[in-house]
Amino acid sequence: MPIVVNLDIMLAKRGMKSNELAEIVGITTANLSILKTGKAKAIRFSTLEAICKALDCQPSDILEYVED
Amino acid sequence: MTKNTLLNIAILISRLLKIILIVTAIGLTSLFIYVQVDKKTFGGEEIILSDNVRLLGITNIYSTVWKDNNDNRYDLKPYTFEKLKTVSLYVNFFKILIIMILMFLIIRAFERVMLSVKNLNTFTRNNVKLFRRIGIYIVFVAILTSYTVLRFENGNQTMSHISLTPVICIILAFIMAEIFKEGEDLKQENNLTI
Repeated sequence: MPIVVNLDIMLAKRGMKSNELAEIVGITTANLSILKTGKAKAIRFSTLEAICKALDCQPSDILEYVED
Repeated sequence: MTKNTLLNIAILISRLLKIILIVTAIGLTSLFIYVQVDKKTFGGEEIILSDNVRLLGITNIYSTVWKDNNDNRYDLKPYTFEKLKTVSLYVNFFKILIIMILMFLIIRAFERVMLSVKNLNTFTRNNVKLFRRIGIYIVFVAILTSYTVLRFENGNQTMSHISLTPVICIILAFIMAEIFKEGEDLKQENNLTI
């Protein structure tokens, strides 16, 4: 998929752990793992909003379009 | 969904049908063994193939009688049980038995689908497989029921039957498999939406 999720980079920049983010956002660590590994088919605006709020960033910091 | 009355009744009926099929198969096998031991009990009984009322189908029955080798006359009662050839008896018995086994498998597969729906596990890969299997089983049942041959010492009876009913059932089973496949894909997509 040409959409790449850069959640790991943002987590490292903020010095936050995955389970902490999952707890703040209100999703399971399994679902966060699906998102990080790029297995997710879609992301809800509400989830994106919560992630951006928790990491204090923009959606473009997390999602990136890379041509195949 | 666990309190779905119609589904519970359907599951109960399918279980009942399975029991009836098992009992009938045992009874038929017992009768088959019995006639091997004592052929005279049903010896005089006539076996005549009949085209029962079958919807959406065409049935053709051909009967032939030939002269007896011993007295060179036409047999007046050629289709009695005692004159049925052993090979024909065996072939028809196993054919009926296979049809019953296939019917049992169809009911069992359908029951498994209904149970999964009851357990809120409707759209799964397994249900897709089960519907496809039902379709394949109906194909075999349709093939087996389409042709019957009874060979007697002085005659033959042949029945060929072409019906639209199994064709409709086969198409429906495969359509259901496709619907469940689409449902499973949608469910997976929903599960992978974070």
